[in-house]
Amino acid sequence: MNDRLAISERREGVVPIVAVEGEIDIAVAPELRRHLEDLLDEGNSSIVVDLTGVSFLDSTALGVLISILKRCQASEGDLCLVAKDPQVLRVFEITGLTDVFSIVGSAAKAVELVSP
Amino acid sequence: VTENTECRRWSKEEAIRLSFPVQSDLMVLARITGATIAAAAGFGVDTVEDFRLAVEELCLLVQRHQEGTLHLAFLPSDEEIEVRCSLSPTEALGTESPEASDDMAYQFSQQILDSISDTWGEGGDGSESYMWFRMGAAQTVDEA
Repeated sequence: MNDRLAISERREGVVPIVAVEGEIDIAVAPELRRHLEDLLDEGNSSIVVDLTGVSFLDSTALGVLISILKRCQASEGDLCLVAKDPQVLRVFEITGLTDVFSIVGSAAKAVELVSP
Repeated sequence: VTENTECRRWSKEEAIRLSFPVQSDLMVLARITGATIAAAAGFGVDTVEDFRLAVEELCLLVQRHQEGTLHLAFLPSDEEIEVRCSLSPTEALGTESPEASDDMAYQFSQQILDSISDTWGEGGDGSESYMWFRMGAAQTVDEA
């Protein structure tokens, strides 16, 4: 557990929803990676990551999310992101990742997108 | 935030410097310092956010897989802020190969700087090499 990052998890049906709060930078990105990789190792192929509580993310966070997306897709699943903060969305837009990730405004919509 | 809305003006000689060990949990120092300087220079809220992201990405590009001490210099002028970042290395970081996501992150850092800074690059003065970016308050369009 890190003081600057809070990760919580719940399920909507079979889909795990990982809610992240705080700033995701090089210091805490490995913790997020471990959490998401554990979910994949448990057999989950689709994950929703809720970033609505995130106020900042950097390139290391993007690297983690991309690697998790690839693992999801390799298992014929998907990684869907929930984000509303303009600054957070801007980072995805700048890097062209809005074309790579499914990014929606609510967890319910995200679950709908990734549910089998 | 104070009621004094007049932008501070600095000369080039008034560089603000920050040095800290390459340690992931200290990167926040660079962001906080960058945001404070950008706000003091009169940058708007969104541009301050962009500036602190640019500072972070500059540091990430410079420190990549190395240990040592990062040196940041902020050089505000009337029109823009120039930021330089260099590293005094101690040794290569471990023996592990970089993960693929690290390479992606490196590319993302470059894309982010391409997009939100006015210009950025590498420089040197003979005794040290550094990476830098410049960003102006003119990008600010967010204030109502």
